[in-house]
Amino acid sequence: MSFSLLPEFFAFLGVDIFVALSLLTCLLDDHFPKTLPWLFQAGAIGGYVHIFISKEFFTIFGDYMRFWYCLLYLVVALANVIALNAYIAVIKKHWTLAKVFSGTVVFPTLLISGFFISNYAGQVAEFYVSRMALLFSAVVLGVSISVLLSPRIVKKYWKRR
Amino acid sequence: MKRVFSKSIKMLILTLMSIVVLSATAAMYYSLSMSSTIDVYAAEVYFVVGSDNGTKGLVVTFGSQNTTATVSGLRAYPNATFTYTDPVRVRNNGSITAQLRLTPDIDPSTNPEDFVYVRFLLNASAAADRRWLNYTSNGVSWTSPSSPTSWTATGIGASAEWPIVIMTKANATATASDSATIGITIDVD
Repeated sequence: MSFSLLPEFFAFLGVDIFVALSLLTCLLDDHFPKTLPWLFQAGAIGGYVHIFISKEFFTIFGDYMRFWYCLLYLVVALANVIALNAYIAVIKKHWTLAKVFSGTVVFPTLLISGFFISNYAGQVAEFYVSRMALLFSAVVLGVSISVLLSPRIVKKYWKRR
Repeated sequence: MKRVFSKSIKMLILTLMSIVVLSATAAMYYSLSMSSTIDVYAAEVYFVVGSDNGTKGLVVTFGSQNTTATVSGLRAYPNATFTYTDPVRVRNNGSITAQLRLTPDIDPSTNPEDFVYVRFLLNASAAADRRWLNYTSNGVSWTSPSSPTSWTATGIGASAEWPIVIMTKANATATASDSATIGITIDVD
């Protein structure tokens, strides 16, 4: 059985991101405004409404329109992830936390989103983002995370040199 | 202590909300992505040739998979009933009973002055299962079967073959070589 992505998958991915951000900002509530988790939760509910409307007007909205407004929702979710990272780095000036956040949250989120957008583009227009580029990004991600999360390894490395 | 407690409650509420939102969204997406599959099977009920084929000027030809049959060369004699007892048969090749329904498809429109009637009988083994379609002419126009009561379904057993009997009668003053075209369908439920 072949599995094909619907445009609403991007909205679903956006909801996942909003939910994750909500829980994350609740855990790190010392660094973020108190209302932020609830705002992200509202964003996730907005995504549900988004898919609900898409379902109700399925026959009226064409594939093209469904793709663009679902992608827009995903882009908004991704923009929130990046904005959080920028908030920690620029406003709060927690550089270490910002680096960890970018390695463990921002980059994987962008990578996963890129992967699914590439898959959808391949499915619809037979346009594929190079698998090698994605693989390379994943390797960079893995190395970055391990380095960022273990500063001692870096210190040891520099001491040896 | 109070802050830790409040954070835990907040986290718990957010987690529960997240579970609800994600479940609802996933269900909604699933309902969108659900698709039905339609498998194509060979027809189990189809036409087979009857013993009258090739006699009395009768020629029976079948379409692809024997799901359509064309009976040509049917004769009608002036003021006499002529019966083809076994021109073509309906066969249920399946292993369970199939419901058949005889329904009019193409009504005759030409030469009503030449005919008295053309009747089709789905000649089931049991009298109660038999179904008729009667096309009659009053010499001016054709009257097609209109009562749906005669079109009710009837069950044909597994591996059974029922002939479609055709009866014709021409008007006493009918013109030779005039013809009429009638189409009937046998729906399988």
